[in-house]
Amino acid sequence: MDKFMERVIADAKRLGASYCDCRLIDMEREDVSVVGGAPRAVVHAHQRGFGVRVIANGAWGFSSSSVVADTEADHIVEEAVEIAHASALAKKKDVVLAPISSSQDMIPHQADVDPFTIPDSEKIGLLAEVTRAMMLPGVVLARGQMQFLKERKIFASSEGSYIVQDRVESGAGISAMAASDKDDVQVRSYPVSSSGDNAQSGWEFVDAMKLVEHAEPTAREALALLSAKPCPSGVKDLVVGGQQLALQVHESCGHPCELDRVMGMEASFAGTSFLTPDKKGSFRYGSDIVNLTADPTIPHALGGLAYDDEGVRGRKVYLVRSGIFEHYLNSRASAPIVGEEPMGAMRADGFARSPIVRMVSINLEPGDLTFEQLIGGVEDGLYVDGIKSWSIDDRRLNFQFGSEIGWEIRGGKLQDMVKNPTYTGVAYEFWRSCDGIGGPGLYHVWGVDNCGKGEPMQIAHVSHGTSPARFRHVQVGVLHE
Amino acid sequence: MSKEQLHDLMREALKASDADQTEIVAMTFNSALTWYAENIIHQNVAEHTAQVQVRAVTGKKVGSASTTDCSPEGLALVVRQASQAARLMPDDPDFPGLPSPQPLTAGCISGWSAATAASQPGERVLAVKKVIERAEHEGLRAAGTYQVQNSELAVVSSTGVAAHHQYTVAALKAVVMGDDSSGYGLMSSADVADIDPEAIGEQAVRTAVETRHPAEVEPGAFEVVLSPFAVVELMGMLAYVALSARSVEQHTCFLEGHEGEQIASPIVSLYDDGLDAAGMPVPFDFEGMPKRRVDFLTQGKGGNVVYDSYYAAKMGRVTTGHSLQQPNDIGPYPLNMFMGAGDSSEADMVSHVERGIYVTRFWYGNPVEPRRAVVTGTTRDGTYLIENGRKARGIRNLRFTQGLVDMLAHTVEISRNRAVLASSFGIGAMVLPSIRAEGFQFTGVTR
Repeated sequence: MDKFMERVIADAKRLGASYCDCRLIDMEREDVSVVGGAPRAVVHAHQRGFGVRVIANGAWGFSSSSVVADTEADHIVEEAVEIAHASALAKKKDVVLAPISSSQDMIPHQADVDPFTIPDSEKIGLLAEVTRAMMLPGVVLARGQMQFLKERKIFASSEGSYIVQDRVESGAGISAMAASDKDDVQVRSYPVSSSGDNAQSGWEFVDAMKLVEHAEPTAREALALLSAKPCPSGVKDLVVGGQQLALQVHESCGHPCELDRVMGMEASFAGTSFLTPDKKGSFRYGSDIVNLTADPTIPHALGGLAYDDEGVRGRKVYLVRSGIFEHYLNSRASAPIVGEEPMGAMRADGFARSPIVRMVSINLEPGDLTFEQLIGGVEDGLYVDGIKSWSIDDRRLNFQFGSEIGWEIRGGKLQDMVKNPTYTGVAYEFWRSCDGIGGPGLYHVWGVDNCGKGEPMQIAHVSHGTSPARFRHVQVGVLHE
Repeated sequence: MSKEQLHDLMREALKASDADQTEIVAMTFNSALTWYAENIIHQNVAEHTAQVQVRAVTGKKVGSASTTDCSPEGLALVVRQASQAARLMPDDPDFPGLPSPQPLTAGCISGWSAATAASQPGERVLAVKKVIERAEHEGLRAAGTYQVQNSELAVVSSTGVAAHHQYTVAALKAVVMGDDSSGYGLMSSADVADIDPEAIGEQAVRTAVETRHPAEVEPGAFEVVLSPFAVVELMGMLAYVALSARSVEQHTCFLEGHEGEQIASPIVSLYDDGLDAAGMPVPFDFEGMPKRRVDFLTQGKGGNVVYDSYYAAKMGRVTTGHSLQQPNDIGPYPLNMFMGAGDSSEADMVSHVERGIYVTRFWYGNPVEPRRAVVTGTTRDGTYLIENGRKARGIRNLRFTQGLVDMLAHTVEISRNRAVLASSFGIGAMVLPSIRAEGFQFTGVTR
């Protein structure tokens, strides 16, 4: 074991902690942003620090520092133990951790080409070419961005675990904004909005996106949206594209399955969950064809991990199987309360934050339909895709999502393009209305690098495997005037 | 480390640069947070971190690098990395160079409290216990956070900028829940002594009790009274989509082309003022430029947006001192927003409503049509039906889909009292009143 980690664990034991873990993290990050052919922001960031989590007197304490030195370690451990004793002043019962076997392991990253070996000039040059290609007449803003991360995380615990995990992430995305003289602004993105698509891969992941080829078509769709008809309003059948469905899975399945949230621990910030323990094993969350998994083992998935930040080996579980709610995302402290085993979902944002229950890769298992079959089964409906707007209530029931683009469906065929499509519903009613899911050929794992949760706020990198799916009788085109 | 020692350390690091211009921004965070739920403390954490961000400029080339290593060697290394990055960058034709120093009023601004900086975990726990005990007395469950923060922001550049600000934040939040209702309370201040846990607990408990057994109300257009906690969610979204030079660039700014025109109700004034001691003042931005007051709406008439040095040069303006940490993709941002006080009280507002809705908080707001600042979200933690001038009963939470400019145009009453609400950015605060507005669009109801 690393001498520094040994010192932390020994200090904690000496000060009376019944449990201690320490994460030492060294992380590099690069963010590149280009607007209209010119570099807007290029950021190289390096972070190094450690976080110490203890149980003392039956309660949690945590402290962290960006100064990795022996004297600082002594101070931080002391503070963590002091905080735990303060926490104990308001405890009702002692924290109990589910037992796990200790691990000694070394996990390599999954990148072929280290993205940090690609010169900035090449990254900026590619985004400059792409954003210039998007600047067609009527396009007022063309943006492109890339983000890369390289991390070594060492986890050690007083139970004897010592795990070194390396991780490399790469991601990119582009968007074109078109504006009309009628106060209309429309945006199209590729491959998906916000920071684009992300994965535990190297430069090869960005290379495979073929950004240059997609630049002009993306801009042309933004321009076409300016003259598209408004989204119709009413109850219609809805085919949701894979990107948009990733958001749906994230908000209406991933978050409500977080066991800390179910137990009220997030009540003061993100809220609670409708998936209460009494529903486990019996609640009809979706139709028979809906199978939703939490799977940290998918190669290259952004939400993948070998071990979580409690040293638990990640494993696949079914959150929803054949439409029935089955399992939670959990932690060592929360899993036993609902009769589960820890499955590797405790994750922290960097060294300075204490782990909380987070998503890993949350996926809708593919069905067997082609895209044409999904659309062909709709007499009067809408097809939407491209994440634009999202909102869901504090129990994760009532949602309203907006997409970048939509098309009317009539007689089983895609018809006119529509702008500003929105749809709304209640999570379980929506999933119960699912009667068709695209097959493996339409399946893609989307990497999402901006999932916020916790106080202080923590950002998690998660992913969602989806293919397009069809839903019946959905309220679309939310009117607000 | 004193201000002088920190500046000396940063100036020494500047010497490692071979770029034309170099800027170092240092931020230190010493924060602690007690997180409670279900009437117990389930996390209790502390964080001692520093971040140093360097911009180096060679001609029109800009390189940047950041580190958490604040040793003299670490600072020199990150300066050299930024200088090297600059040489490898293509020209940014719009980059105006680092800003030159401008006079600051830093000495007059106080945002730091010794009591907050010295507060101990046991003190936070005792405060939280007061909220928990008040909730337990009513058979309710309390959740929330108590955060204290002691931070520094320092900027030094080769153009002569030298700025330093030390500030503290204390914020106690409570969500109190029953079986079918909840209530909310929050106080934030630079001084921990201003935080009153009994008052916060009482407010949250009273709301949770009053809104028990909520009725369902059909969505539609309602007259609303919005508490400051509700207004802050809406103004945060407005700031993001519409009040900066970047929003002008993105064509999502409703003020663009409407300067001096009557856009909102004549009783609405909205502005950013980083020097107003009524908020959590910050005398300069992340480029060390002095904060200038920016009036977005003055008695309902359209005004200006906020700028940093980049957008100011690009758009032919002067910086208003609203840069975030550079470089960034967010653009300039108002961290000290105020809505001008009115002459009413929340009780008066409710008494003026024949049938309407009182909203304690909004949740998960997101723009639907940014150009018109149309946003959606839901109510939470205490939504009341107002009938005949009084809060008649609790109702199920509602989804809204509302144009914010339209809401400000239909605002008919504003409270004298305003709440100080610490920013989620960890620096600055909004100072906002309660408002009464007509024709607010609710478009759905939760289960």
